[in-house]
Amino acid sequence: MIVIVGGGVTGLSTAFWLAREGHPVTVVEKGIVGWEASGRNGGGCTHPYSPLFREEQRLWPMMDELLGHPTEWRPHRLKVALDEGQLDRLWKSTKLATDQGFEAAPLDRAELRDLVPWVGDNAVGGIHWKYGGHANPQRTSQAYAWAVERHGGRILQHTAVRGIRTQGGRAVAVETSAGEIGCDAVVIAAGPHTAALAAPLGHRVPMAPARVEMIVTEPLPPIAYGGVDGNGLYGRQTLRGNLAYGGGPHEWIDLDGEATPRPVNSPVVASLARRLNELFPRLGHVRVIRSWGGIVENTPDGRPILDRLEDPGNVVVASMSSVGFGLSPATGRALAQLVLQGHCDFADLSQLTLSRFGNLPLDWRSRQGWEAMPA
Amino acid sequence: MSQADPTSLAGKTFPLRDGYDHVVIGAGDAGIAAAQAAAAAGAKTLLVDEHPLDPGLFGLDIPYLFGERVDAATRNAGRMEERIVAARPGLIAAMEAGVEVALGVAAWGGFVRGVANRGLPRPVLGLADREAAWLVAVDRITVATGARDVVVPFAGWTLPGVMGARGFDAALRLYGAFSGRRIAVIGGGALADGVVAAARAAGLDVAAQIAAPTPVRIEGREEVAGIAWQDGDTWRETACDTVVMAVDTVPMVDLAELLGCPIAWDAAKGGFAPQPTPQVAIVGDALGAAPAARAAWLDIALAEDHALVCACEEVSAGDLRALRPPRYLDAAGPEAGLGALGPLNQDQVKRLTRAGMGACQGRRCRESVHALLSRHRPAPLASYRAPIRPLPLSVLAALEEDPALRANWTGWFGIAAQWLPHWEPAPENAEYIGGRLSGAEVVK
Repeated sequence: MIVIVGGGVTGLSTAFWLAREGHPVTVVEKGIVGWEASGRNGGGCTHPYSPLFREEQRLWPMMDELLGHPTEWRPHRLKVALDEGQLDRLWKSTKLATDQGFEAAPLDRAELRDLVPWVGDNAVGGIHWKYGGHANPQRTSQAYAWAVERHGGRILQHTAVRGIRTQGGRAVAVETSAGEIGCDAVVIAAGPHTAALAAPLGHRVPMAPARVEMIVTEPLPPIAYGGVDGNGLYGRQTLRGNLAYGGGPHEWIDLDGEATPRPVNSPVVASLARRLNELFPRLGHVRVIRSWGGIVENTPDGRPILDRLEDPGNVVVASMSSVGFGLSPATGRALAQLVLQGHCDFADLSQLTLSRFGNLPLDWRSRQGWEAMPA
Repeated sequence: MSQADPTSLAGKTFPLRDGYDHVVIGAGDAGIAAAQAAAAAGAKTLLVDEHPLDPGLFGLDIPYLFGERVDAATRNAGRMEERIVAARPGLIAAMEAGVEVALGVAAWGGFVRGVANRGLPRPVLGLADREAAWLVAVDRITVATGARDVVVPFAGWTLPGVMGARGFDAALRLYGAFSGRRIAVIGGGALADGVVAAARAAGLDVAAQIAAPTPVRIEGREEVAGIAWQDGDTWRETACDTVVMAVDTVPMVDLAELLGCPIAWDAAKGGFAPQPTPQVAIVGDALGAAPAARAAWLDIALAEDHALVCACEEVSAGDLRALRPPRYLDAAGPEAGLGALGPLNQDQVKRLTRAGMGACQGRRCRESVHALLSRHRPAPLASYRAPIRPLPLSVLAALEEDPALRANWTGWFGIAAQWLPHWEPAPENAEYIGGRLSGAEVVK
C-alpha cells in the first residue's frame, strides 16, 4: 500500500499514475480534495523553467482522456505588454521556452487586438506563445480524484494524518484520525503542512506559507485564446467566459496546527481590478463578482522539493513551492517513479532535492524577510 | 528580522477615506435605530444604505428578486433618493441626531484582522457608490442588512414579472416604482399576507394567493401572463402580470460572514443566521426573523429534474443531482452523481456544476442548492467573498492605493530563482536564498 498524504493536485496526480499501473494507493486528505491551493489558482499550464516542462506540455493534451472527465484544458498563451520594459521581460521568459524548441511569435497592437478585443491603445505589443495553456483547477483536481477511484485507489477525505510510524529505517504505517494505515511507501504532498509532517522523521523541509488572492468577473463572450495575461497579473478567461486574475502582494503567515487558515481576502482585490482594467481598458464596465484567497508555500529558493528520503528510505517528500497546478500531470508521474524506482527517467530532478537546504540557517525566514506580521 | 519582503503586504497600508467610531450598514428601521443610538452616545457614526441602487443591479436581482418590475424612474438617482427619504422618515431624525447618512452606498467588503490577515490595525469596510470604491476604518460595526428573497424554482420563475416579497416591497414602497398591476402571490404566512395587504392598499389587483405548498407553473412567453397551480385533483389558473414569491426570506449574512461573524444553520431563524462578535453587532431581520417556511415548497419544485435552479449558469435540479458539468462542456457527471463526493459541500458542488457562480452571486439559487444537498443533514454555508455586490472594474479600480504597494507589485512573489531554469543550481545569495527580483523587474 502506498499512502499519499495530501489530496491536492500533486498528491492526487501521483496517486493517479500509481493506481493506473495497478499499485494500491490511499490518499489521505484532511478536508476536501483540491480544496486549498490546488483548486484556487490561475490554472496556468506553462512552466518553461521547470525540468518537467516538456512532460507538462506532452501530457496536458491527453489529460481529459486519461482522467475520464473534462479539465477544460486549452492550448497557447497570449502575453500583453503595456510598456517596453514589460515587453522586454516577456521576451526574456519567452526565450526559456524557445531555447527548448517551442514557438513564439511577436504581436503588434493590431494583431494583439485581433486576438484580444479588450486590449487598448496603451498596449505596446505582445507575444503569442504557441505552447503552454490553461485548465480549470477545480475540475481538474476532482477529475484526478475520480480517476484514482476508477483505477481502484482509495481517497479518504476529512481524515487528518497525525504521524508516520517507522521501523528499521522504513515507514510502516500512517496514523490518521480514522485509524492506522499500514504502508509500503509514503508520499508527503501536503502543501504548507509538509514541513510539520516530515519533521518527526528527522527532516527539516524549509517552507514558508503565504496567502494570495484572485478576482473573477462576470462572463464575457469567449475569445480565441483565453490564456491572456500581463501587467503583473496572471490568469485567464475561463471557458465560461469569466476573467479570473491574480497577482500582487502576498502575506506571509504562520500555520496554527493541522488546519489551513481560511484564506480571506483583503483590499488587494481592488488593486487587482485596477491592474486588470489597465490591461483591458475597454472593460471598465465589466463587473467583478467574486474573489478568493489561497494558502501556498514557498521554499527558500522558490523551487520545488521532489525527493525520496534516504531515511526512512520509502518516503517521498514533495512541495511545488507555490507553482504546482499546471505541472501536476508531470509531477505526479515523476513522483510515482521516485516511489517505485527511486529516480525519474524523463526529467532531471537533481537540483530539486531536499539536501540543497542542508546548510540553511535556522532563521532563514527572518533573514529573507518572510516572517508573518506580528500577531 | 532583516528588511521585510518588499513584494509582501508587510509595511503596506490601505489608504482610508475616513474613520468612524461606528458604522451601520442598512437603513431600515433597525439600522436607523442603531445609528441614532450610537450617535446619541457620542460616537462618530456613519449610516450607509445601498438604495437607491445602481440601476444595473435591478436586472441582476441584487439584492432582491426584482423580476424587472421596476419602472424607468429608478434610473434617476436623485429622485429615488427623495422617495427613499420620504419612505423612511427616521433618516431625517437620524441626520438631526448627528448621524452621517450615505444613501446609494453599498458595503462590498469587510476586512478584519485574523490569523491570515494581520495587516489591518482596525476593521475596514469597503464602500462604493456608482463611481468609486473606498475604504473606511471603524471600531464598531452594526450589520442591519435585513433579509433577502427566496426563489422557489417553479417552471417559469425566470420570466420578467416574477419577484420576491422583498423585491416587491422595495419596488412598491421604497422606490414607488412598481410597474405591475395584477399580482398573484405564492405563500401563506405572514410574509405573503403582508404582500397581499400592501398590494391592496396600493390599489393593485390580487388575482390569487396560493397559500399551501402545491405544484405551480408560471405562464407566459416574453413575460408573466398568468399562473397555474394544483388544487386537489385539478389545476386552476388565473391571468396576472406579476407573481410575487412570498414563501420565505433568509437573513442577509454576506457582510456578517466577511466580518468574521460565526454563522450557523438555525431553521428557527430562517436558515443560516449570524452571531455577533465583540466588534460586530447584528440587528433586525439580518439576525433571522422567522422560522424557515420553504422546505415543503422547495421539495415540490425541486422534485422536477428540469427545474431551473441557477438561472445565471443554467443549472437544473437534475444537473445538480447528476453533478453534471456545465453545458458548454457537453460531458456526463460521475456515475454516482452527488454520491461521488462524500459529505456534501455547497462550495464544492458550485465549483463542479457552476450553480451559484453567476452574476447574481448565488442570491437566487443558494437556498435551492442547499436544500438539494441537505437531505441527510444541513450542508455547510456556501462562502461569501468580496465584492458582495458586483462592482464594475472601473469602480473598484478607483480605490486609492498605497504607492508602495504599486511600486513593489509583482506577478508572483518576486523570487528570482523561481523563474530561472530549475535544472541549474539556484544562484548563490547568502542573504536571500532565492534572490529577489530587482526593482525594475518586479512587474512580471
